[in-house]
Amino acid sequence: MNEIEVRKIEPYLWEIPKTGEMRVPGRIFASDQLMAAIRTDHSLEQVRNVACLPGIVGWSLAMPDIHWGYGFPIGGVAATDAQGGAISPGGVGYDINCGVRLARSDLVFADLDDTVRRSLIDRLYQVVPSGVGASGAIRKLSRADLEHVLVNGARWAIEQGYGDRLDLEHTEAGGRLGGADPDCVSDRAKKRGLGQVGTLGSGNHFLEVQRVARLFDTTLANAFGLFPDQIVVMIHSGSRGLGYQICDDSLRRIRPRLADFGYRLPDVQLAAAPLDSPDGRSYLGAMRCAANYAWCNRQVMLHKVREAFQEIFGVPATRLGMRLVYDVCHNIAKIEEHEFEGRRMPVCVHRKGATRAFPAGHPEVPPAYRDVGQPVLVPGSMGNYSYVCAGAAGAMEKTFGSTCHGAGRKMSRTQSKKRSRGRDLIGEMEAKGVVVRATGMRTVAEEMPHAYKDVADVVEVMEAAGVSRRVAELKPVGVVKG
Amino acid sequence: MTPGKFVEIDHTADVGLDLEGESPAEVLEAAQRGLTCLLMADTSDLVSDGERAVTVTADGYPDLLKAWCEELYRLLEEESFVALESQISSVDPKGCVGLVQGVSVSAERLAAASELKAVTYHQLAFDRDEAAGNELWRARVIFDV
Repeated sequence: MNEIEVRKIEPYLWEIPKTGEMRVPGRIFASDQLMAAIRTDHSLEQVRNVACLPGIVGWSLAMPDIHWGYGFPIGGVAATDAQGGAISPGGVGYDINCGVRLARSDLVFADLDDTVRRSLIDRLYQVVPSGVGASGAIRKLSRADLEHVLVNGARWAIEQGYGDRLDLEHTEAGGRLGGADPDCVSDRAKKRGLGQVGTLGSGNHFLEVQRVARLFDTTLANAFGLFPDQIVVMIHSGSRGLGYQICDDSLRRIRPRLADFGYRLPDVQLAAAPLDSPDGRSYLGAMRCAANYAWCNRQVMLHKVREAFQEIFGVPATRLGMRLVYDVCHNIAKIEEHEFEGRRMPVCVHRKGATRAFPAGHPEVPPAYRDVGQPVLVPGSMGNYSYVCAGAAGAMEKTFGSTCHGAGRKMSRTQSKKRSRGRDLIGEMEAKGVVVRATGMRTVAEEMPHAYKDVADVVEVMEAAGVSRRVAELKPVGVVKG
Repeated sequence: MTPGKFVEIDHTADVGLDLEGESPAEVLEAAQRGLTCLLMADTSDLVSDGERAVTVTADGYPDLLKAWCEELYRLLEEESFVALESQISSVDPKGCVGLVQGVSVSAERLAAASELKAVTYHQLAFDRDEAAGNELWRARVIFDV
């Protein structure tokens, strides 16, 4: 399908040469096998399109879990010059600050016999609302509360008693981006956000109870508080309707103005504005609000998870050692300092389906992990496994401090549903040792493991490239899906 | 008149619809049926018991298709109202007026629907098909799910 010229320049790195309107080359991290899959959809074309963004620095990058998105490929990274470059709402996506949170516990798999496990997953399904229209995890926010959430993010949740200060230390950016401006958020977006704090959503969002199945590096695992056979909880969700609306509002406003900015872009979904223009600043202010909302959302969900564990095991969550390992986002644009061609410069790093992966020593890595590198959470497909990795030095040289974010789809939702037709999907998952509770079977059919690449291949590529290192493999024992 | 048609598009991460009809109204009505099919696992047991008057403004036909789909999804998300049928009474590039028949569903049934993050601009198209002698209108819309 894809006739774009792409050549291998290192064992796990491929390049699309700069041609036509491209301002920089494209670079894709992939094995031969993954590249064969990547070539089957339109994602390489999207890597090429992103290379046309005004002010893009270095390369239009793609992680090995890249797949066809809209505008940006999912798994794309683009850094634009913070002075004079562009910011693209499509480079962040609709689910602003969609991300992953991992909490550890002192429990081991043997503590969850079949009855306990089913009770726990049932309870989690009850206390963390999921699916369309989900609300009611906590009381509906007042307008004033919402403004606080938009400005203060997860800090608001902690102030309300939904967690503790250590949670903030172990959340990217402390769970709050400065510069959030609620005045840049439409009434419609705010309305959608009032009742959705603490809700999971639908699609590929999930809440999983997992078992640490394998350690790759015991020193790093110790630093992250992980040990073999341990029970952990992973939450994957984002900014819900508020974030979707902010992205849509921004695209609607910016799209007709491209000619005013002097921008020529190959795909309207890449619509962008100069960072230092009123439109660029307005998007950034609103996007930061959505990012803060998402951190608050995942913080409240973690609180509900702790309450559920407390109920099932009959002891306080603190006595179960339920501490947050880390929370990291994978749909975001952030102003960061990076070195490129010997020059330190502020850039706006768009991570669309890509995870920040700062190495040891970086000042933004929490003190507890500064000697080993930032935890990177890479969920796999439902029923297989997920990975905990750590940022490595190569990330700063090759990817503007970014790595992969998941397995990456290899099959469309339509194909996956066809392949799932007539099968006892829940029974199949049970046979794999995974209890599933879902609001709709359609989502389960779309998200079956056969629809995804093997996340093991994805994290191996990034390790081989020196960008992130594997720390632990996590296998699900229970899944809650929207 | 033959009603407009929809076909679900194979998109790796998201879902979409290819639409055709003999008029813009037919395309929009087909979009309604296609969207409901994408959102709801099964509507065979649902019977219309209410209707909503929908007025959408837009800036060109592609934008109209996006706005129409957004309004149908808003009815689902905010009012738990599943659109089962629709009739467009007037349409031009600046907007449309239509009537949507459907039914309000339970919170449980709503939760089981597919969530739509957005109606995207990606490959968004809605125009006459010149190759078909301008007798057909074709459209494409991709949804982020």
